[in-house]
Amino acid sequence: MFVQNYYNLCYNIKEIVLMKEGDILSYKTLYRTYRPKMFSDVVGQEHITRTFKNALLKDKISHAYLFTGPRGTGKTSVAKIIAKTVNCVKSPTDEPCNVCESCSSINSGFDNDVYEIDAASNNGVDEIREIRDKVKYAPTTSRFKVYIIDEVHMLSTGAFNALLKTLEEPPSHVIFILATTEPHKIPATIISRCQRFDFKSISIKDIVARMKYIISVENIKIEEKAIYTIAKNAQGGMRDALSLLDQVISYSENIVIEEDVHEITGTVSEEKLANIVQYLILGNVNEAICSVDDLISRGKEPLRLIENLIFYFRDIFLINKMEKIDEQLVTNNSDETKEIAAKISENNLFELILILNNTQYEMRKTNQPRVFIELALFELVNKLFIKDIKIEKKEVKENTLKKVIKESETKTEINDSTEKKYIDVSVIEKILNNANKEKKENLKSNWSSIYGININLTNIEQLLIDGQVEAVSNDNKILLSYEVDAECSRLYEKDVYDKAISILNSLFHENYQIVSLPLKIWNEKKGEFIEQFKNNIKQPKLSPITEPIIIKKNNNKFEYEPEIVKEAIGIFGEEIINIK
Amino acid sequence: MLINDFKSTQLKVIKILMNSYNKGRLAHAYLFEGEKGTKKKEIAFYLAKLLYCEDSDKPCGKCNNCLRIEHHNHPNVLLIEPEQNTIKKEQIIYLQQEYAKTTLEPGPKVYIIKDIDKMSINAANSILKFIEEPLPDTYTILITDNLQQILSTIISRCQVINFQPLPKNEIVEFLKQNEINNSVAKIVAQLTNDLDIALEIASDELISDIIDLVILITHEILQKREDILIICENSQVNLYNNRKKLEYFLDILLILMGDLKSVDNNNDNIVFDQELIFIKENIHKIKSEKIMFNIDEILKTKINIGYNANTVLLLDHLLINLM
Repeated sequence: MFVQNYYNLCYNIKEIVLMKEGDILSYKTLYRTYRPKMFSDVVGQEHITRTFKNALLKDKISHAYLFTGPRGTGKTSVAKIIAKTVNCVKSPTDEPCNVCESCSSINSGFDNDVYEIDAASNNGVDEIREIRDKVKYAPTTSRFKVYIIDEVHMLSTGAFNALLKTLEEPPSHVIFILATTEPHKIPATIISRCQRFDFKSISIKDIVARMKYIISVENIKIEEKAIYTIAKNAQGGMRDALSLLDQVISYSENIVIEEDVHEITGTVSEEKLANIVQYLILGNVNEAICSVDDLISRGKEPLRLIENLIFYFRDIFLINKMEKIDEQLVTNNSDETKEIAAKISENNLFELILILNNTQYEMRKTNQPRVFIELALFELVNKLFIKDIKIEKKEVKENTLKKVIKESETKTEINDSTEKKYIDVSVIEKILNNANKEKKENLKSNWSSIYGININLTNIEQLLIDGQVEAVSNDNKILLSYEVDAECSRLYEKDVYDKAISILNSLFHENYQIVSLPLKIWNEKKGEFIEQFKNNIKQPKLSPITEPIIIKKNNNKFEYEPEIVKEAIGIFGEEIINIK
Repeated sequence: MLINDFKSTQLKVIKILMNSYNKGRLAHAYLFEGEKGTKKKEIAFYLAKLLYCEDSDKPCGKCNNCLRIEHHNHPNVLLIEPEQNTIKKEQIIYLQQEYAKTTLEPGPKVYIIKDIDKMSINAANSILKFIEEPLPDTYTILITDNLQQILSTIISRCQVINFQPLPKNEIVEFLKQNEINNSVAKIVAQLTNDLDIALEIASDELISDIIDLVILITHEILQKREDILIICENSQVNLYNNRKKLEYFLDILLILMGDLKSVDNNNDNIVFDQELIFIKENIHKIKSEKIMFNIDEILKTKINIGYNANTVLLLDHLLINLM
């Protein structure tokens, strides 16, 4: 709070100093200039604005609101508009006048009775206590004191609890508006004391409409297609759209064209993606590689390219699945894409996306992403280009049979430092039947904080991070999947498992248990589970797992000895050296 | 004069920034995103100089302001870097307090935060409001090489500027200036995008031995003689005892295999251009599927090295498969 006040004070002083000097204020970006000033400016949130307009007109205002929703959907803006409307001289009214003293002082950001608090910087109990102590004083000039607490998910547990009583029964002249992008981090006790409003992602249509309005006011020349491309790229955030628009305007010479947008975002246009996929379907790898090379040499990043391809195939998948195409969901929806979609079978699509996904994963780890892209194109062509399928299948079957026989032969000879284990499928069944989505999302989003424990990662932390959280059950059993079987089986070694558990429990303060599965098996079981669930079986049963996991038995010898140790052993002999 | 340092490498970025500056549309918050060694920090300071330079030909790099920024001495230009690998909330609070004070000198304020992907969750959330509604005439420049790890709420408040990796010929030129011979420079440039690391690798004498070995092996593969295992054993480069060496070896082998594939596709623009004639004469002896198979094998080996496998066995396995 102190910082906040201090900050505001200095803000005022600075404003005055600047005005005296006649200095020109720096350019204000579009998203700040065109921040909605009244309810009719707010785009795509009719369900919220209408409720508020009615409530304000009838003077039936609650004392606590909670605004949630993705970035750039208007949470803070609506909060400010409410603050203006309740304090406006014309109140009760459904729109602020934006002229009166109160409105204009709120617009400029330093009204005495509207406190905009950044909960992330002031997240302690002390700051909340200060609010609690001050709410009882009457507002200085206006009708209501409005506390807008932004990024409220960052408050500490103590701070949340300190706020509870005030939030429930504040003095009649106080309104609290809490805003956050992460509602799952807010305690249920806070949520139940507020009226909750969920802001939706803004549809492409609405973003385009708003941008067109701004373009006409600002007098900007821009291609119609470019506007759509920006809207697609914004992914539901108005602020993202306006940021991008701003950037494109700065970048382009006279008129903004679609290519400028692709240039800035590094994305590839739908047309070019369609071209590449067409080549692949025709079995013409060389042409496909040429066009990819061409894109890369013109400055597109290989990683982005793969990402775009993944999304392209995802859109094709949706086009195949949906009866009526939802433009909000499917952004690549030209006629050419639809044509391509008709040629690709559904089963293939899963494999295609999987190949691309693996490629993307591998690419992050190397310096030569280009080789990976080309390799992926070759693999894709094998899946997409339809040759004489029957003959191929027969060959493959024979080959795999031989392989299986060979493998079973070699497996019997496994040396005695390893052990086979068959995972009990009922454990997985139980987890999936008691899966708790919220817990999973929570854990997933915090999973990377394992990084934060230690600056030097031990291999156990690394092992945990490499795993993919697939499900979390109500009794805190975590299901992890691993792409690499060896990593998966490490978690079945007792001491590794114990350490992993202790890391998790100390980090998340829960009693977790881990079940790890190789990705291949997990995908199989997931498929089974989903299929049965779709057929309305409430408690699906899974078939037993036939492939064993091979576990190394404990071996206390160091695998890699540092040079100095080796030397020491060389001099003194192994028995004398004691490595600590 | 300063602009020439970046113009060839980051043309797009300079174009965006200069156009914005000239049109008077500089945004209050930028997010510079791109690989290591792409001069993000340098361009951030370049932007700061642009704002302060007193000369008519901005930025001159010679005037008092430019020099002070260059030496990190300007009171209005603040650089924040991770302390012990993270940016803490205290650093952000300090920043906010520092910038709430009036300036000692006239002019805008610029703050540059490096490696913002290393921000703690607290710090990242604390800076949100500050970025969105800064004091007038304040510019924020955030720098990262890992855009995926940054809060979407931060990204949406900034203008994201994407930095392209250094073009390979830029690295080659740099190495040549440091007296590395052309063919080695071309190959090393493929291994990394960082100038300093490239120079370090190229100055190591081992690298040319490894390159020779790779070429020798490829000759054997093309001529279908079956003794690459022995060649490898007898080579003066002992690949087995040093993981780093083995990684370079695999990378270089991968480049050469990529070259084989290019030649196979009638593309003569390759990295190992001194080998072009030989490859062209012999490329018909190997099937293109085999080349793809070899590339796949090398990639698999590269991945397996990461899992502490036995290097001797891995390498032997790879060499046998390559034949």
